[in-house]
Amino acid sequence: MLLLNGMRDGWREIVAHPIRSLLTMFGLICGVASLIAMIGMVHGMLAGWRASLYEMGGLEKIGSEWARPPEYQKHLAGISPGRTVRDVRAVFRNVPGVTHISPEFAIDEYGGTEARRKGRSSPDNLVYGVVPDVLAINRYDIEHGRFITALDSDRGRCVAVIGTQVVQDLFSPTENPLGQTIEVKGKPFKVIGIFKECVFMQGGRNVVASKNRVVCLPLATALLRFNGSSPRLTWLNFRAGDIDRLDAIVDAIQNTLVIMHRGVLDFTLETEEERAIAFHRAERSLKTSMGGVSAISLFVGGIVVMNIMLASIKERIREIGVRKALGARRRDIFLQVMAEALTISAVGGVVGVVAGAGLISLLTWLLPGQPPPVLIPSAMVLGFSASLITGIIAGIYPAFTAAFLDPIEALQYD
Amino acid sequence: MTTPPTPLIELVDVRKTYRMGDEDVHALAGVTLSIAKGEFVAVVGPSGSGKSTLMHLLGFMDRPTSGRLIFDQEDVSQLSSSAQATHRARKLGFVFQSFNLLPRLSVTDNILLPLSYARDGRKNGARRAAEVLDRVGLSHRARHRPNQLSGGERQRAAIARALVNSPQLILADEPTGNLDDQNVERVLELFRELHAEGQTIVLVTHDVNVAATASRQIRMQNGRVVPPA
Repeated sequence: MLLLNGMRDGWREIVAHPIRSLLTMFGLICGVASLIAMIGMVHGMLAGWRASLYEMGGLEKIGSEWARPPEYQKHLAGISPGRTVRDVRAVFRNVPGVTHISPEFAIDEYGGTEARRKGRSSPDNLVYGVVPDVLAINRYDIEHGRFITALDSDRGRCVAVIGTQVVQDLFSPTENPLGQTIEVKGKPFKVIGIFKECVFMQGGRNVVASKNRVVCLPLATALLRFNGSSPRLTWLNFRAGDIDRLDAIVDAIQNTLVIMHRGVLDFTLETEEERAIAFHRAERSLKTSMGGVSAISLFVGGIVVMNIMLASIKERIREIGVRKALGARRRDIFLQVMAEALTISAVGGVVGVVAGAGLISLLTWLLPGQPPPVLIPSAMVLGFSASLITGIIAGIYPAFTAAFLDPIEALQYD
Repeated sequence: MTTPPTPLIELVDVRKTYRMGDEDVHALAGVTLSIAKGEFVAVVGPSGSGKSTLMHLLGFMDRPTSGRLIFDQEDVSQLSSSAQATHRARKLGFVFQSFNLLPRLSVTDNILLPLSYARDGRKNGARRAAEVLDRVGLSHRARHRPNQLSGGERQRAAIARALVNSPQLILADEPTGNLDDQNVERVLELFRELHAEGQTIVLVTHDVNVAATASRQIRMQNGRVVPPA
């Protein structure tokens, strides 16, 4: 009851001086808002990273890329055949921990490739030759039709499996794409399958949308039609069966490939572990910096609240004297002042939560293309509680000061 | 022969000593007196005579250095500060010279303050507040703020606040000091009426005319009660 009265008085104080109240609560608001934004950003990064990690094949995936051989091997570069389908067989025989191997040849490694059909165009696609293992490694699902088989590759068939964005670009909604022909760089391919749409919505965006812009061809067909005489692959990806043995498997692949490449180190093997480490480092630095900002804001906010409470008590010494004369005990006065501090910090906390939500929308708008920060309910609760706790701590000293005023002196105070 | 009236307040050789620098100041230097239930007593004396100290003791805001203070047959000389506060809330009504209404609360909310601190009988608080407002003739001012009231009205509102917890004693400290003649008369009339209803009142003043309203005067000088001539 007294606490309720105190909170009502606190609310009156706030509305009686709106500007002063806003300034008082500013530190708390900043602290809560930055706390919520920080957690939102970390969660956004984490969710975006997890989604892309999953869509790219997870931690079990081992990728290989072409690399410039070291200086001392520069003159030997020509003797290596590079990564070819022969590497696939070699690794398959020599590294038992590898469950899937996906040799891939992209028609344009860096730029998007256009696909056409009857005057319609689908730009910026990844067009590449693959084998069936690509499904498991790059995590594609077939929605309609079938996927490319070993037989398609062996016979060099001109068939394609396409993503939903390509379907949208090249076909009208009433058409069945299966059995139709599309063109890539003037060469015709018959559509035999359509991938399932990949959707991972975050902050109103599909962060894995690029996976729907894909055209898969049989590997042999792609090499034959677009790579001239060279059998060199763009990517050669592996999937480890046991993630705990990842390091050993990576070493075994490395050894096999070095032998196949006649000792020339013209490739690198990459796992997502390195990205994970980099990611966690970024996460930690973000937590430290934003967490520091909110801690400092809350600290300063607490001091401002304490200062205002002390000033407000000084203004009301006589009132406290009167309340004591009318029977208020020390704990009544203590509770009253605490209730006021609590009210200020609660209002500051609510405004801070709203500001934090606003900050997250602003950041989403300011940073397109980045994994957008997300508003986490538990972060809102945490921010609000942090503000309340700050208010309680800031209120204790002023509340004690007020509670222990001598009623006689307080009544005579002018 | 009538039986002597029951005393509400008894002071037995009460002393109050303050330390001012190196000197002891005897604000009360051995006061013995008794105030009966239903009495209307005026405490008079020049400033520095000890009447304020006496009032603080009677108001449970201070404790005597020595001697005994009996209130309603209870020795209240050395109550804890929390017990003092509870006694103030339940047994006393204060009326101050400068009214001391809280400016941000309505007249009714001001009147409800002692009830909220007394923590009993609050269910009928609103009705009780209406009753005492009616008693002092301010029913039409219930929702006003103190600064919307005249001086006389403010003091009557303060008296209503003092009455709301049905106190055993009303302590009035120069209640007419800030009022004009007309309002002084009205407030004193109110005290006389309350006295006639059996209310015990102790009124501290240095105004002889005001003191004359009371049925008995206690004259203080140099921390002692001056015996009646």
